[in-house]
Amino acid sequence: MNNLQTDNAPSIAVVKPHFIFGGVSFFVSTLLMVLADTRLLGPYFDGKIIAITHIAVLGWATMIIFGALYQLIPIVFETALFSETLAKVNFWIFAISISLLSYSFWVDAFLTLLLYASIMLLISLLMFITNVLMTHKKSTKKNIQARFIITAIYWLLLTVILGTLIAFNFSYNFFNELHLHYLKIHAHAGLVGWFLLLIIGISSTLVPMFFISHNLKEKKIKYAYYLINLGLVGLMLDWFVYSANKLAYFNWLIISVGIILFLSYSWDAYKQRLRKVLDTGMNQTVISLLLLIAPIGIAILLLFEFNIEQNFLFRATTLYGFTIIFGFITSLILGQTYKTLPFIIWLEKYKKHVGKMKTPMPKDLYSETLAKFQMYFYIAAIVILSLALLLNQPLLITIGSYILLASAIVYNINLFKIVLHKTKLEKLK
Amino acid sequence: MQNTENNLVTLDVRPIIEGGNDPFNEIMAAIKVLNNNQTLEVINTFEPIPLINKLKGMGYTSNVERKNDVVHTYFKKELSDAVKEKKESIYKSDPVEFVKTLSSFGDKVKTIDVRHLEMPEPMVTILKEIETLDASTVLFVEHKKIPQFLLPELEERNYSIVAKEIDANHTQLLIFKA
Repeated sequence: MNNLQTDNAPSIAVVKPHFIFGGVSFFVSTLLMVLADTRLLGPYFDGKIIAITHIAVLGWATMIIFGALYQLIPIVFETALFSETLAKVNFWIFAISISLLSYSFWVDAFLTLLLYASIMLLISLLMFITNVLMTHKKSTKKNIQARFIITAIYWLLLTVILGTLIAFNFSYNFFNELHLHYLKIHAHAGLVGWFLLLIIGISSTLVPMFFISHNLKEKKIKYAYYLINLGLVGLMLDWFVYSANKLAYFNWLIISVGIILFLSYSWDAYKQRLRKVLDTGMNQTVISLLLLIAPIGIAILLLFEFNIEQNFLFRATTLYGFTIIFGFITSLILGQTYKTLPFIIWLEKYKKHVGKMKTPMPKDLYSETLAKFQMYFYIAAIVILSLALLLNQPLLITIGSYILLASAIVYNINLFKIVLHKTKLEKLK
Repeated sequence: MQNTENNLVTLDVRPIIEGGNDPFNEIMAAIKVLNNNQTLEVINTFEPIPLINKLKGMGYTSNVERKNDVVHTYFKKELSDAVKEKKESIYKSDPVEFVKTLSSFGDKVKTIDVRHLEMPEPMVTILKEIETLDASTVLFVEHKKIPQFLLPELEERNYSIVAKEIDANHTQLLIFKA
C-alpha cells in the first residue's frame, strides 16, 4: 500500500570527507593569501588570485555544499540519494581536479596542466549533476527549496562549461571577445546562479529551522527565485548576444530586489524566532546575510565607473569577489558548519543510544570558545582586508591575511575535534 | 478526491487550475496513497504531458481518453515481481489510516509537541518517551516535518509510525509498538 521507505539518510562515509576536504581547502586558500601578499592589490585576473578564488569556491565552498546537500536531500526531496557509490567516486575525482586546477593557475600552467584539470573537473561536476537530477526524478515532492536547488545545479553546469571553454581558449583561441568578457559571465553564473540560488534554497529551510520560526511568508522566496533568475538570464543575453552592458542597470536592479526579498524573509525569521540567545554558528549566519549587502553596493561602482582610475577599479573588482566569496559565502559556511556537522556526527555515533543512555548533544562535540575566537578573527580579517583593498595598503593586506589564516586554523581545530569525536556514554540516572 | 468501488480514484483538477494553482502537489498526494490495485483518473482540459513523463519515470503506466473538451488520464502502477514481494514497511503517511489507528487506541494516547525544540531535541524527546511508553499506548507527536533521521531508528526499535501532513510546517505522528 502506501508504505514509505524509512531510511533515506546517506552513509556518513559519503558526507564526512567533503567537510574535511572543505575545511583544509579553506586553510590552504588563506595560506595562499598570505603567500600572494601584495599581489592581491594588483589586477584581479592574476594567476595567484585566480588560484585562491578556485580553491575557495570549489575546494572550500562547493565541497562543503556537496556534503551538506547529500545530507539535506532526504529532507528536501523526501527520497534517498540516487547513488552513494557515484557520490564517493565523485568526491575523489572532484578533489583531485580542484587541486590540479588551482595548482595550474598558481604556477601559470595555462597552456598545459590546466587543460587536463578542467576536463577532469567537468567530468566530476557532470557526475554530481547526474546524481542530483536522478534523485530529484524519484522525488514526489515539489517545493520551492527543491526548485532552487535544481535551478542552481543548471547554473553550475553553465559555469563549468564556460570555465572549460575559457581554459581551452588559452590554447586554441576561438573566442571573439577578450577573456575578461567571458570571465565576467563565468563568475556571475557561478556566484549568483550556483551559490546565491543554492544558498537561498538551502537557508530558507535551515535558517527558520535553527532560529525556530514558524509560518514565514514563502511568497518572498518565490519572488526572489523569479527575479534573480530573470536578472541572470538578462545578464547572459546582454553579454552573450549583445556583448554590451545595455541592460546592466536593469539586471542589477532586479537581482538586487530578489536578494533584498530573501534578506527580508530571513529578517522575518530572525524577528519571530523562539530561540532568543544565538550561538556562534547562528551569529556568523547573521553576519553572512548582512555581508550580502556589500557586493550590491560595489556593483554600482563597477557599473558606473564614475571616471575612476583603472587600478582602483581592478581592486574594487577584487573586493567585489572578496565580499561575496570570503564574506557572504565563507561566513555562512563557517557558521553552518557548527550547526550541521556536529549533528551529522552525533547522529552516527549516538542514534542507537538516545533514550537508553545519557549521550552528549551535538553542541558538546566542539568548543564554543574556540568558535568565538574563530569568529572574532574572521570579522577583524574581513574589515582589515576590505580596507586594504579600498585604500591600497600593502601593510593591511599582510596583517589581514595573517588574521584570516588564524581564523582558518582555529576553525580547522574545531572541525577535526568534531570529526574525530569518540563516543562517550553514561548510564541514565 | 472520489473513491468508487471499482478501484478507480478520480481527481478533477479543473477547479484547481481555474483557481490559478498548479495541481501537481494534489496529484502527487493522490499517487502517494494509491495502492497497487487502484487506478488514478485525472480529469483536465489538456493532456498533461509533463506529468505523464514524470510518473513514467516513477513506474506508472498511463492511458489518455478524450471526451468532448475534457481529457481523462489514467495512471496505474506497473508491477514487477520485486515490488509485489516487498515486505510491508513500518511507516505510512495516510490521513485515513491515521484516524483509524488513533481511534483503535481509545483514550490510551500520550501527546507531545516538539515543534518549539531545536534539532536534535525533537528526536531525543521522542526516543526518550517511547522508552517509558507501555505497549498499549500510542504516542501522538505534533511535529514540523516528517523526521527523516528518526524513522530508521524507530524501525530498529520495532515501532510503527503513521503520519498525517497538516501543512508544510505541521505534521502529526502516531508512534506505537509494532
